[in-house]
Amino acid sequence: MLLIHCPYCNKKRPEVEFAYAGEAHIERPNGINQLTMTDEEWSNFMFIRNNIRGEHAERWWHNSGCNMFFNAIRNTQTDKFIMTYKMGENLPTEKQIKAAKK
Amino acid sequence: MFEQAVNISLKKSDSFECKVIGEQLRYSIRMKQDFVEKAEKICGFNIPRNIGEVESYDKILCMCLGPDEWILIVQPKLKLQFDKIIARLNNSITISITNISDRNIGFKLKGKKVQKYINSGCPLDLALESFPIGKASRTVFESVPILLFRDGKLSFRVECWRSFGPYISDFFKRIADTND
Ligand SMILES: [Zn+2]
Repeated sequence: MLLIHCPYCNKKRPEVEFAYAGEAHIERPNGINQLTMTDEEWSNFMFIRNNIRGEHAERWWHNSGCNMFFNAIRNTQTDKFIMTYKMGENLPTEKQIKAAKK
Repeated sequence: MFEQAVNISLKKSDSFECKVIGEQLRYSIRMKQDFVEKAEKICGFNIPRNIGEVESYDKILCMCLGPDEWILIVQPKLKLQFDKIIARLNNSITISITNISDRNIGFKLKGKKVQKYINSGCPLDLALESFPIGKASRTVFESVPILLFRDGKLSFRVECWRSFGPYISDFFKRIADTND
């Protein structure tokens, strides 16, 4: 079974405790911007995702554990979790990702 | 009917024992870590800070499930005392307390094979080094979300939603019947 490191529990926990929650670092437009956005811009925000093949920044939810959302860099081809980090932290730089691979 | 469904009869053996825990007071608590110290003063007992930590007393069990989430399990005879504590908590700090006494059902599991049997439905590493005595965690057992608390080397407490009770107890009965 795949083990996923939860940055809040600070432990590797079984995959069945987690749920995938889509691409990470997508900012919801603020209230004023929502009023001036076109339908196309809105649908882009709502539905259009990068669908990356390779190293993907995505959200995960430790729903049967500490109940927290966190972000992860996962390789979508190999299903390997390269790193996980807490909500609110910046997207890791290439250097950081490279370091985490070691 | 419900009592019959959850109260399973197992052959008496020292390898596995499963008993339903009777009525308990249960509270689900959400608050920011900043308020923990104040809450402790009002409650009069220690509240664990880190995920998985438990403070257990004679009649009170307080488990930290997440950075801002706790479960409090109390013996029913302390109801009046806890009504007062909760009223005071609500008045003095920003906190959400929900009474979930009847939402959950608790099981006490004991015996030489208890770890093996729990692991037949739960993927958590239950070795003493990684899940020591006095640790608790929310996890899954045969796709049912459960709360697992280890109160002894060969003794666990499992809490799940009431509606899953018959399913969980039946599952343990089947494991015990086929393995013993
Ligand atoms: Zn977690």
